Amino acid sequence: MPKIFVFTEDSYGVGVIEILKRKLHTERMLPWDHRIKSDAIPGLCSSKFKRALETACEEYDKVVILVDAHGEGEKHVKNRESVHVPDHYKGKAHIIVNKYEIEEWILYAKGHKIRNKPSEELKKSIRYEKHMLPDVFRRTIDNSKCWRRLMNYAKFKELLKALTRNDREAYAFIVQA
Amino acid sequence: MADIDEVMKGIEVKVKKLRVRNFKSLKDFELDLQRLNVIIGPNGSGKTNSIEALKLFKMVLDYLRGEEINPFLEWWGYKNAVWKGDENLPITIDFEYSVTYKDKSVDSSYEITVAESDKEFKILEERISILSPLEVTLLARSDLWKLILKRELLEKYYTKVSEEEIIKLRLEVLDKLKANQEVEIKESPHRYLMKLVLDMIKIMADTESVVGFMHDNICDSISESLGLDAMGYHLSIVLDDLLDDLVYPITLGAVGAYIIAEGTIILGRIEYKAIREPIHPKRELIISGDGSNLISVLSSVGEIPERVVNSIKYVFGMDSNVRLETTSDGRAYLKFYDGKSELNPPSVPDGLYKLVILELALERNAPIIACDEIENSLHARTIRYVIDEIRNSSSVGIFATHSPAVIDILRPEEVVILEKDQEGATKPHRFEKPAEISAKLNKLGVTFSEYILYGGYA
Repeated sequence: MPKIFVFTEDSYGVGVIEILKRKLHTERMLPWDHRIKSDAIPGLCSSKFKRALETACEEYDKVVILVDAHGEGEKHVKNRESVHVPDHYKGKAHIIVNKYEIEEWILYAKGHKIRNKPSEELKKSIRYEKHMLPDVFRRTIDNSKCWRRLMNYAKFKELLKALTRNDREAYAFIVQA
Repeated sequence: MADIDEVMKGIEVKVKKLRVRNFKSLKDFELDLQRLNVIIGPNGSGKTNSIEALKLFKMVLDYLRGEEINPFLEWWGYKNAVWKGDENLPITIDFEYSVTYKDKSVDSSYEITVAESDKEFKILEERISILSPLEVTLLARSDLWKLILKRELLEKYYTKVSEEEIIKLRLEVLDKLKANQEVEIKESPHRYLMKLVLDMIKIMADTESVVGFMHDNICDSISESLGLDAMGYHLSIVLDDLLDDLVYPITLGAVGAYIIAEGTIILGRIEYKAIREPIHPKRELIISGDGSNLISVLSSVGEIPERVVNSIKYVFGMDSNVRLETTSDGRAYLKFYDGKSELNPPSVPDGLYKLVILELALERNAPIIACDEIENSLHARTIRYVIDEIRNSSSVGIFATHSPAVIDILRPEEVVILEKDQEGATKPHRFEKPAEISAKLNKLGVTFSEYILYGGYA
């Protein structure tokens, strides 16, 4: 029974992972015996996160770190986060960096352009507030057209691969150009 | 009569700074406010005093409404509230904030000075200062109001006009206004500026009316005091123009100060037993400090806000929900659904009620949400959610904490460290170089709370 831990940038990301988990089960893309747990990265870049990561790597089969680059450059952010992963667990941790913010998934799924601040774009179009993220994500992926579109989004594909692959081979860091 | 919702409609208030003088250990306390401000420090450093200063500010409004005889009784008398028990000293509370209404934005400060005399609560002085786009101050005392002007503003009227006749008229008005001196407005109809706001809200239905009538009220008082009605038609037109520029921002500033006093939520010891009890709800829009009117506020709002439901989903899972239910005799209570079962009031954890209160305060756009010991009754995950919510809201959060679990999820710029100086006065400090903290934590291999505790702020 594979166990996966996902660290998200904030509390709202945890809700998204819960919704995604259900969708993957419903679409039979994820066996029901897959256990996926998620939590927000505990605060500052510090030894606490390092210890949290080490614990997750010890107790889980895979660990995913899902963060936002906020336009800073995905490679730079990925390298910054990789510092926290203990050397002996480098093969177990998979870092996925959104170009801007997780809200870009929603914009992409709806066929909208992705610009600097996706959450601001949603604010303009649907009076979006951050607490709505899990619900807005759920409604988006409940639309089959949006769901199919989202599954072609590079970042999302990376996450799906990390969550649904059953093998325990080492994962290399995927550095985005 | 307008309620807080109607007054706040269309008005945005952002609080930027808090200054307190002579209240308990806050002898001369000044705090620039971020979106989230978490106050930490040893026992007795003044954390609770910082939050109680906000409480005093709110209680002044209650006093003006006749709901509070003497706010200082909260602390068993003025001697216990004032710095070093020196009853000769007044207490001053001052906010700096911006107010935006209909695309007009002013930066303002409101300062109130209070004391006790013959065991009676006294408001000694109020001062509204407009910092931008122009500078003008209205000083209000019980017997006298003063308008304090800046010459530069008035000089712009010289440069605007080109006709000799009009220049002559302007000079006459400026002479009357005694540029750069204090313009006394004698026999003001309202003793206190905040009382004027309260009186306007009682009789007006919405923001536009409140702002409009306040503006007219103050302008009329100035005109009458200066004897400008007798000046003649042309001069009075010039004066109207001038006063519009001066008084409208003051009016917005005053309404902004009212919104801060009325809308600020200060959570103390929460009365969970009272919240659990089904009640016939009353119309109430501001959550009380003990949360006991939560059911009434939720009923008055009309439906459980989406934000509140989303917070419950975060804690309990995506299938959970919360609803206002009624008993057979029409009393209201909150019922939670955790996806598998129903939770009636006796089975609801305290922390859930606290979460609902905080989320409701955010939904109501409280200008400040303050809470002493935020960690009480809340799991670390839930605290993290509340902190993320504050970070993404328009409210300013001021929380006091002892908990390392809370500190470890903060950003350095969100932390306020209190310590007492040699006199025993509480002084707030922030990290000077917050960007460097991450690297230090990694180098030292400590958590943020450990770093602070063991000398990170030396």
